[in-house]
Amino acid sequence: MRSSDHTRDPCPWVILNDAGGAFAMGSIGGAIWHSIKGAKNSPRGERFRGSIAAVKARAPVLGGNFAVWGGMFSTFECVMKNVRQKEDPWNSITSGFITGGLLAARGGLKTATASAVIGGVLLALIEGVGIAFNRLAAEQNRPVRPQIPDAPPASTT
Amino acid sequence: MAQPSTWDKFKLGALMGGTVGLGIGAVFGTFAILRYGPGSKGYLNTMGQYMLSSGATFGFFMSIGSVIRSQGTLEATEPLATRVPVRTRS
Repeated sequence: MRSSDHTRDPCPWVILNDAGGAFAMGSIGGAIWHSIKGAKNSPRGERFRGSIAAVKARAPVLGGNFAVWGGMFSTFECVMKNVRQKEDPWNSITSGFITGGLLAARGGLKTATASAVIGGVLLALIEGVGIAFNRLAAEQNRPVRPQIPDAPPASTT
Repeated sequence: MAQPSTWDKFKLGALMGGTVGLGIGAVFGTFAILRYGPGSKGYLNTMGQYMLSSGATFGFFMSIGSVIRSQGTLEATEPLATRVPVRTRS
């Protein structure tokens, strides 16, 4: 099945791509985040070493969490695409819902439901903002009708 | 078609992440206030803190996420059918 979005890989491979991208995003973001947080939470004189220690301990974990989320989300999105045979925002909203629920499944039904709703709302917002931005961009470079000077400007004389 | 520069992608990611984060903060901030009350800072401050902090977090991570994706935009101009033979030949 060919996807309508040619900027991304076809379906089974996009899972790898997404998981890796999410890992990189989490690791880099986590490194910046925890370098600041580790320095802030260390006593004076130990700030640099505390920062390095926090990054080493926590940034890969955050990357892993992101990768699990991204990989699982992408897997469910591919499943949705193939089951429903169409591509719309509901695919990713449902995938977000399932991913959020499944990752919190060990917390019990109530926690899992809450987490699933959070995942669904998150993805719905992301999709909505993406659509809005696309529409804005399309509005900006909408083809303008060229002004054809076929009628002689009689009024300017 | 012009390639967007890294800085452009960074800005777009940050803008999108910030917008999403503000929305998320609005949704969950409303929920938290309804559930647990406004706390000691009042309704507007709690809400603002929710929205701004989640907007900052999302903007931060999504700006990184849009910068590290550098390959997709290269292939975006060509359809899949024309780019597969090129890939196998090399």
